[in-house]
Amino acid sequence: MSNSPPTLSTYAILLIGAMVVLFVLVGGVALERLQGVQKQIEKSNLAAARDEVARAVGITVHKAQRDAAALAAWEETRQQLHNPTHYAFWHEYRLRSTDILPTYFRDAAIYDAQGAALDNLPQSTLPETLDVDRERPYLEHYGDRYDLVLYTPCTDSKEGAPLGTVGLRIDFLDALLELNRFRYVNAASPRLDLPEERHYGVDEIAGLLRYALLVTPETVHLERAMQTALRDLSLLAGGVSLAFYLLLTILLASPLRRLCRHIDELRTGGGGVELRQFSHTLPVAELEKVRISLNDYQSELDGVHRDLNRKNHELWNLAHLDPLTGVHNRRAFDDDWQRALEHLSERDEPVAVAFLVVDCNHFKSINDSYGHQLGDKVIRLLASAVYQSLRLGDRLYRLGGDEFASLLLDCTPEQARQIADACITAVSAADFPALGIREPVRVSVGLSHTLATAYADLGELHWQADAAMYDAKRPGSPAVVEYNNALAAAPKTLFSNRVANAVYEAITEGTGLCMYYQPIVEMATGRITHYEALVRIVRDDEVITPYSIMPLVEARSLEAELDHSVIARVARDLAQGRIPPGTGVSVNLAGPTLVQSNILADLKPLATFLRTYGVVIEVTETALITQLDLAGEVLNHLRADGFQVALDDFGSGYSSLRYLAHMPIDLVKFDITLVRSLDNGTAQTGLVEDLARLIIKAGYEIVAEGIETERMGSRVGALGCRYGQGYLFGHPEPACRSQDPHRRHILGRLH
Amino acid sequence: MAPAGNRSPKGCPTALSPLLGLVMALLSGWVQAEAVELRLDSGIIAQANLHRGEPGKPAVVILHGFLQTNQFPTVQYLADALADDGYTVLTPNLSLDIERRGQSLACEAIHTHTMEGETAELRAWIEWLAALTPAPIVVIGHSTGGIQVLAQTVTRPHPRTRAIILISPTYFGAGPVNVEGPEDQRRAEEDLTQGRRDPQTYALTFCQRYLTLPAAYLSYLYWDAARSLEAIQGLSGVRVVLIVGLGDDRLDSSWVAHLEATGTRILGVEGADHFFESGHELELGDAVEESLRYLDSEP
Repeated sequence: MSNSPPTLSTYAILLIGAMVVLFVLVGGVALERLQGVQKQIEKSNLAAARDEVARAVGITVHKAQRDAAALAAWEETRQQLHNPTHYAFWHEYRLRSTDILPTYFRDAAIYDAQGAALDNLPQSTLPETLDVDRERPYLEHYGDRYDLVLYTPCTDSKEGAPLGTVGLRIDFLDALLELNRFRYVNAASPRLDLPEERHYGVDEIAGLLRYALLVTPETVHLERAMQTALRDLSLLAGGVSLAFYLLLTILLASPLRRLCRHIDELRTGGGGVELRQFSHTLPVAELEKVRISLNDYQSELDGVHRDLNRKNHELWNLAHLDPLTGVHNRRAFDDDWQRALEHLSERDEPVAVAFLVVDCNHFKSINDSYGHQLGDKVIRLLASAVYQSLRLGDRLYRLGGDEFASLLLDCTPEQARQIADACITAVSAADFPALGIREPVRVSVGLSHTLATAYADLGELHWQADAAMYDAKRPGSPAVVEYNNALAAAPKTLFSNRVANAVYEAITEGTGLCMYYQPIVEMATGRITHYEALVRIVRDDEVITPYSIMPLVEARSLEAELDHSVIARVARDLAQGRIPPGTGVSVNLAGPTLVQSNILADLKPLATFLRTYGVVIEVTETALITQLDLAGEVLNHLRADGFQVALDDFGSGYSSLRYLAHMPIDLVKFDITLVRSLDNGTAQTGLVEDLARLIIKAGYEIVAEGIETERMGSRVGALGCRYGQGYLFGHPEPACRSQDPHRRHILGRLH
Repeated sequence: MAPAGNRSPKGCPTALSPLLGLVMALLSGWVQAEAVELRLDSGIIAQANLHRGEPGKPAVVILHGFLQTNQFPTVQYLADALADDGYTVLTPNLSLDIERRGQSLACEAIHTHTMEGETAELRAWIEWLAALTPAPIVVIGHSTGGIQVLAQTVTRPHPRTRAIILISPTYFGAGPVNVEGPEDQRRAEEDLTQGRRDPQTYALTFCQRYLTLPAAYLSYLYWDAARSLEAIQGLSGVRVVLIVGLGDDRLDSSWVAHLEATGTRILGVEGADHFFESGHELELGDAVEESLRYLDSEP
């Protein structure tokens, strides 16, 4: 059941209906009263008619008597009385032609003084003789008419002596109607219904007459006027009602409906569509005010709407765009990801989809070294370079501080690779030095792709790209890594809770932190001179390698914390005699750790073992050292304290020669890529050889890493590298195993 | 034709004439007339009005016109005027066979009266007047009444009748103003010959439809233009004066001219019609009085 109120038109119709009912009631009452008045008038008229009839009869009889008297007084009557010789002729011709008798007279007769008719006329309707004394006027039904018969004596004009009598017969009803004007009696109605045998005295005539009342003109007029008034009122009421209804409709209902429609359109207009204002002027002042107010309100709403839209856009931008770089943010990524999934579900055929993850290498170092303001500029420039490498229409998302991603739809693996390479090139070409960044800014790009036919197909893309990206971050990895099956073993979540927890606990509490040591041997003697301390975390009998540890540490900028824990653990291992005496340990320090203000304090535990062990501080070339001067000061300090400094992964990272030029280095550890190139017979082989010679000639000692074969060992030895490291000499092992004496001499055979 | 007398200037201002006539008519009512009756030989009682006048003056009988009464304005006025002047005036109503006739008789009434009867009746009245006064009698007749006076004077003269005054005399029979024509006379004669006993319709003087018996009708027609002329010219012992209205459209001017040529005294009233109305009553009165004086002065 609808609860909506009636419309204005309904109210108008109800009101009109009520008016009609009221009008009918009032009209009915008026008519009833009129009829009452009419009855009263009729009754009054009846009485008046009776009087009128009586009066008319009297007038008629009186007139008849005068006519008879006139006839009697007529000298020609006396002429006939005196000489009736030609009475018959006179009666037939003269009597009927004279105007002394009225038109309604039917017969006349002259009687002599004895009451005998002057002549017995055959057609006479009056008696031949009469009894003068007893004849009085009477009414009789004669033939088809009713006649008044009366007799008047004819007397001598001077002496009054009776000369005779005249008899007169008149048509009473004709006379009645001719002589009288009736107000109450219908003139066509008087009639008599009497037997022929009787004579009726004139006194009886009024009572014998039958007549109908004349409809009183006043009553007729009144009734007619009333009916006319009622009809006119009805027409007027109808016209007024119609006009009222039309006016109401035109002036109120229709404009209100238009207003309502406009308001409905405003309500359902949907955001972003500005409705045209209600421009038609309304005919009623109040409605016009409503219209103007509505338009004003609409204008304000439109303004608010526009503001809201702008704000929404801004908010959307804020919500979906990265304020720093202008590219899309994580939120937009999530939304677009969902939309992509929905888009793919609508496609009938498989869609080639690629996922690109770009991460800036050592961004934390840059940020810490140059400050956040410059760091932001680096991110902006980086984002711009990566964005320009994408296809038109592709979106770039900033997922993290220095991590970017892009979902490439309808993109073949080859195209994705090209885009990734373009990113690398663009980033390399970007003018970071103009920002004041002296160190090269590099990115690692992880790629994954699939032929998506279902939602499930895309679910793997992100972590695959992540895995590839982090793989690209590893030393020696290319800048762009495409996900492959080898990476499938990587945990679905690089930063799985298990690894993260293990790392955190290892860093904060040392829980599970276990140092593995890989021997570094002197090439000439095969003697193990040092052990490189390599971090492992043992958790639930599972060894978590740097492969899983370092991405997390770098992502969370926990290098210093990890190094601190490592230093403590190595110090403990040294203290527990797990490192064979006469050897040394080589501890890796990250670039950020090196420029920490408390690094010297952190290294003090190791410094206590300098008398019995050789401690080498390895600074990896892959770690961006932004504050070389400070780093140099620290290293000088350390060297002064007795530490040795080794430049690790030489040839795989940033400006190796620059480091050599600016930092106090004792050892140069050739990266495995350099070592391997010694054996591939390419132009690079000669370069590496020359480089090695240069470094050796510069007074540095070289540690060749990644020696896995004896041939490689011989090669390296022949080159002049003093030390070697690799699986040939030993795998990283926990400290407890590193005391195997056989290992000391294993390399003796290499020379 | 002598002009009317000097009692009143001729050609009264037209505007005053009707007023004067009205005044005189009103005044005339004040002159009380005496109603008298006379039983005729037919047994019918006739009526007349009598003004008793001064001795030494002629008595006057004034007879009305055809079918009229002594109340006819011309007669009435003249009677009053003469009575004022002291004349004894008798204005009879010819009975027309109607007892105590007091109303004029319609043309369509049954007319049984005859010329002879009326002349006899007039004679009876003269007789009656002669018995009343020793004065000479002058008989005045207006219109056809004049011819009746003439007829009576010719056929039944009274010795006391000194003169007759015919005012606007209108003879019967064909003439320039009468409605009857030779055909009527012929038909009447035929009806008479055929012995019709019922009244017939003829034309007579001003009556288009005059119901009478053929003999009665012819009695009037006898007194046609020639007969009347002859009668006037043949009068002896009785003077005759004709008074005519020179504006009378019923006047046979040639007949009057013929009479004038034969020496009949004729007085004309300039502008007066047949009835001497519209202010010409005074002139008529003057003319009559002048005639009376003339007649009285003549031996």
